[in-house]
Amino acid sequence: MLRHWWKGLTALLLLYVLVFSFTTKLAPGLIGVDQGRLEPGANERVLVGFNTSFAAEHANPQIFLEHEGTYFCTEISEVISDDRIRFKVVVPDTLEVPFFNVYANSNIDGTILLENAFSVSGASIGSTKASLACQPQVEVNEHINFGFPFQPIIFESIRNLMFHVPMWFTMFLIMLISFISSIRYLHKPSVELDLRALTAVKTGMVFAVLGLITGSIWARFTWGAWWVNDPQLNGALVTFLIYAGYLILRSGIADDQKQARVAAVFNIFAYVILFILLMILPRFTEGLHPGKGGNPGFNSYDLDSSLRMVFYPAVLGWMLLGYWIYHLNLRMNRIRTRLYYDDKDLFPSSNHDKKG
Amino acid sequence: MIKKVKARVNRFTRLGILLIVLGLHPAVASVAAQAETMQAEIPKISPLEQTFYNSGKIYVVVAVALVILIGIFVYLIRTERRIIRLEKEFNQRSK
Repeated sequence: MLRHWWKGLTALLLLYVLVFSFTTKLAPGLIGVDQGRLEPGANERVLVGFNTSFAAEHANPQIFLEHEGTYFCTEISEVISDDRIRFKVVVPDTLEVPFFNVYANSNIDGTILLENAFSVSGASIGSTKASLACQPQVEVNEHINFGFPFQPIIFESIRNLMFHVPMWFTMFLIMLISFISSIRYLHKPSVELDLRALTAVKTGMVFAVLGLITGSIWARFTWGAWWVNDPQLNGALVTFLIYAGYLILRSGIADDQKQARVAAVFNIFAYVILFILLMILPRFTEGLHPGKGGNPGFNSYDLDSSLRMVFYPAVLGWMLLGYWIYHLNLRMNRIRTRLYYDDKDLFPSSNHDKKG
Repeated sequence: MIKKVKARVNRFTRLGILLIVLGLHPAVASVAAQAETMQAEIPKISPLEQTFYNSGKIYVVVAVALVILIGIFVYLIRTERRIIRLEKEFNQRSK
């Protein structure tokens, strides 16, 4: 029974991940304004927040417009609801840049920012009169509330990080098992090692398909299309097709030993290409998928401590689940091979529970 | 027997490729159609689609979690079928 402790751990981890990825609150943020164009003179606009609590007691919301480090104070005319607030601002005739970021500050939400919320039409470009600027009398407090970070456009779907991303991590792990088995097969051929490589590829492909589908859904509601022409996405698809090629290649060779040998060589190259396409190439290219010009995931700034607390257990949990599925399949395939070949010498009995 | 196994592998991969090609199809056309975010009402949007944009896109997460759950269950059912076939085979031989 003790041998199966990691299966219990898998269940616990995934339970933890499910509960916390759905129950952790999203940090407050700003979504937009009712009208994004300002004119010189007095303007009245409505600012729309998400998960904010403007109307709460003691919230004392304040709104500032900012560009190039210069702040402009506004006057709150009405707090409509927790996520809507109406304010007045006087825009000067001459501005350095005709764009404004908006900061909202409250005792409950802390300081939140909406970049390029306003553009100004009709103002001449020049240096702004210093007299019109004001210094915000607030403490800049980034994280008063604990919660997943608010990201524009992504909003609540940041929780997908616990589901979509670990699919690919799991695929990496299982394909690594396959890769190692193939190398060991070439070193010392055996039916067992070939079986491990084949089973791992099949299991890994299940996770690749799940990764592709979930990524596609996420893309549809973030970028507006089921598929975009991004190096990371295309790399993932090519990887999937390469492993599909592995299975087709196997079925194309009748002689069993030849099949296993050719497949092992192909598999080693497949993993190298997988690594290049998913881990190396995207770092040098531009695209929509997070992490371009760096790490092909959310970068360290985006992945804050609240996300990490759920993300790392999620990765470990899904990986263990993937390994478990792989291992069950491997045992099944061993039995099948034994049945079909009817040759007990194929499997040394000590091999039973060794890791792939 | 081996042939049968191979035929199944082949069908599985063919299905996978077909799915991917189908999935790619709308993609090619709509690279440029990046949503302007939900602040502005996106024009001509179906009620079903609107559901996904509502409540800060939480239903996207629900959909993704469901896809994974369903995917794993489908795979488990497939595995069970293979095991049942194995059991039948085994029982026939031991008779």
